[in-house]
Amino acid sequence: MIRPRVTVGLVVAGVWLASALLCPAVGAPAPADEVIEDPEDDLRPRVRPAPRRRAAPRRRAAAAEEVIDDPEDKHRPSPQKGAQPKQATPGPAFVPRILVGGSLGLWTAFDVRHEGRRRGVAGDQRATEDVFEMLTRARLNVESRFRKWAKVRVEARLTHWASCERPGSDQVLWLGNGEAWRSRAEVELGEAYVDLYLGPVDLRLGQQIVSWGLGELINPNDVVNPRDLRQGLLAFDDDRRLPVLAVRAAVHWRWLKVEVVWLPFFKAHRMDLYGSDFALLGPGASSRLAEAEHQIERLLDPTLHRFAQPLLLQTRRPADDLTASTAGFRLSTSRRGWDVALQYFFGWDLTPALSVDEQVYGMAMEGRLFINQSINLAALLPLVEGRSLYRSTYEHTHQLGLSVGKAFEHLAVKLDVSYQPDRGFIRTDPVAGPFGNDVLNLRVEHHTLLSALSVEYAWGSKLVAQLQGVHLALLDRRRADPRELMGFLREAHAALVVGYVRLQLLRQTLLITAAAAVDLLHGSFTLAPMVHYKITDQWRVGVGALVFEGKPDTLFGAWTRNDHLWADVRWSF
Amino acid sequence: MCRTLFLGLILGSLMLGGEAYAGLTAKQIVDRAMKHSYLGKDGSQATVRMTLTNQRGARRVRSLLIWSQRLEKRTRSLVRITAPADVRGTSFLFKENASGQDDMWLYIPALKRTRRIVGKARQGRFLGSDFTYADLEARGLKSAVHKRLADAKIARFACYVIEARPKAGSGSAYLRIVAWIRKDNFVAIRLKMYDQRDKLIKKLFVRRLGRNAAGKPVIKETRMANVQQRTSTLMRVLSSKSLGGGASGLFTVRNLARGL
Repeated sequence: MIRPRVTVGLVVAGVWLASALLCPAVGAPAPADEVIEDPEDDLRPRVRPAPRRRAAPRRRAAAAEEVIDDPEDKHRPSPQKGAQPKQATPGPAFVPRILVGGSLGLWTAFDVRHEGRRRGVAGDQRATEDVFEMLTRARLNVESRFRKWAKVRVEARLTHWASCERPGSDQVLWLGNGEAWRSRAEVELGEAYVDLYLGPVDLRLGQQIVSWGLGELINPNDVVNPRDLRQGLLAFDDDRRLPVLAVRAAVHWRWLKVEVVWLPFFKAHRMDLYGSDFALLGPGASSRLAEAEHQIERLLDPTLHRFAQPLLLQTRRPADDLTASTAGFRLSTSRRGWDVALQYFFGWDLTPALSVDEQVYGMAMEGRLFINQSINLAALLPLVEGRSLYRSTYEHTHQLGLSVGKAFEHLAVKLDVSYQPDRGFIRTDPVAGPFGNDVLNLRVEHHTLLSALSVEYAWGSKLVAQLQGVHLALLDRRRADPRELMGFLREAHAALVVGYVRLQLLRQTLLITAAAAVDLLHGSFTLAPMVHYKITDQWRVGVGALVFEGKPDTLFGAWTRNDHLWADVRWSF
Repeated sequence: MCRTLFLGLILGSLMLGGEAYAGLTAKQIVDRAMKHSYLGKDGSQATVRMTLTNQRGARRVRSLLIWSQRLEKRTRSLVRITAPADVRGTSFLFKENASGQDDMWLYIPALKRTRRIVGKARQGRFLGSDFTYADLEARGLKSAVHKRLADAKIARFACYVIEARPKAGSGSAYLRIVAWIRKDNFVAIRLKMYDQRDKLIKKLFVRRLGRNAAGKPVIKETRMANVQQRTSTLMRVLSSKSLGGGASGLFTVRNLARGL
């Protein structure tokens, strides 16, 4: 009776022994897998495994997949057909990828401190004001990493801007009765570059944005790209840097990164001289400058305003050849929580260097430029004599920068310091006569030190707060210097405090942001609260406000008439 | 004689198969469990889909590419978002350090800047999901005082049950974490996280487990539920490919900013 059981037991034991010790391929999978080289294991021996051997364990692996339902979970996901994870497959480390994306956004703003219709009212010499604005922006980008060592990105941008004024101070504006409509449309290439990753060297060729410095609010070392300043000087919700054609090489050597950038051509800031809320001579500018807008508008027919602006901003551009090229380098390192960088940039000072014929300037100051609604012919006399009435050019500048950042337990501290020995400013105070036949140079150069110290704090992903102190020092400016620069700067230094708080709620679908900047010397400030909500992953809506407060002829007080409420909607794909 | 031999063999096989690690300490068990990453398989590039479900049952989907590898006994991970469109290209780099806090960087394509993630930012939701950055690092489980509780079974699997109390200064948001670690493969298939008031806040469950070609377990689907907010996140590895050799250059700040 016992003998058959013993026999069966011996057979089972024999098979088990044989399978475990002598025949791993038939027996338990684990020992067998230790013998077969794993194509996905980077620590495997250098011998390349044979394809047939790779295939066998994969099939076994597929069968070995386990799905376990949490017995405690009442809301466990139901099994989804057709969404089974694929098994790991051996493959090359690199797979070519291509991504197409873009966005379409509509932003509208309504001026809450407008002063009624200005243009066309007899005797009204105030500058034009944008009461209603509409900005439509479309972006389309294609990015492809077609080789492990190469990537290409091309972006197309379409922007349409339109604005109108209220028909009268006692009338409600709706789009149908808006008057003095102005608009512009721009189709342009955004970023368009080729990346080449050649060993320790990363090369980027083409139209690009170069981010230097550490700060994310005001960054004195972010000097390579010009900005689009037509919607204001400070932007808290948008990157207003304009891509520039450049060659950039970054060499990585141990813990040091050396970056060299070369810009073959000149590109200026994009700004309006007049005709919009944030124009240099617009309604928000200081009173003396705003008066100048009116005089320009009287000189030119309205149909020519759009075309005259670029000419007035730059009567002479740097040549469109390699003589206008600029270059810079940056050394940076990141060790033990410290980020340190040193940079030098030989570029263009993007503040235009303005000069005016002294006679014309004197006549403008004395109110003799026009007589009975017509231009005073005496103002054109310099033209007869072969002199320019007005010149706007650009000068070279040198910039030295230092950036230091340190990450602490709960805070990150960043310092950006920029020194320019020849930074240009536009003189905006009335120059006293007598005036001769020379050219009056309104550009004032100073040894300029601009520093920004930022402290960043994050509480989970719910709250991000940044506080920044910005200090501008004109090192060689005398205390008794009476000249006013840029419409607000009458001292040898200026100080700003910038704050930014972002709160993300409802699983990051509701975004509440408040940004503010305070001019400590003159007490003027700007405030930009905004709320965004993601309806879906593609659609986002937002509302916000932009408020300026302060005395006229201060940094932010000058723009008080530009307070507005805005709303936007954006679709991304 | 034969019967004794047979019974001995059976007993031996049982011991080798199941209880050979009975003498392991809680720390040793956790150390072995830490080799399995929720961010995909070691040494691979994975395509991952995260499904976020809110209190009302509405779902949002995030798609990620995740590169992960253990180098010099430390985990390195690079995460790149491919969807939704408004955050596409945003990338994260995680670097585990032997001591102290791990290094984390974030690349924001809209700003063209790389930013360090510091301190409490690690306790923030990862892409709005129920995972925090710290959860992905499993930092709360690693830098902790461990205690073995009575073994238990989940479904048909025998598990070690370990209680981990994160050390002061580890930056963990949890008072304690209880982990169910399978005895057969050392995968922590269930984690329960308790907040500072010792109330259950989150539950993690490894729902789908695959095996790689070597037969090693690979986490394929993980569900994290926030029981207080009644939200959940399902993280599913859709596919994975081997990184091959020479992948260490992937896990650098330099590569983070390359995008795509």
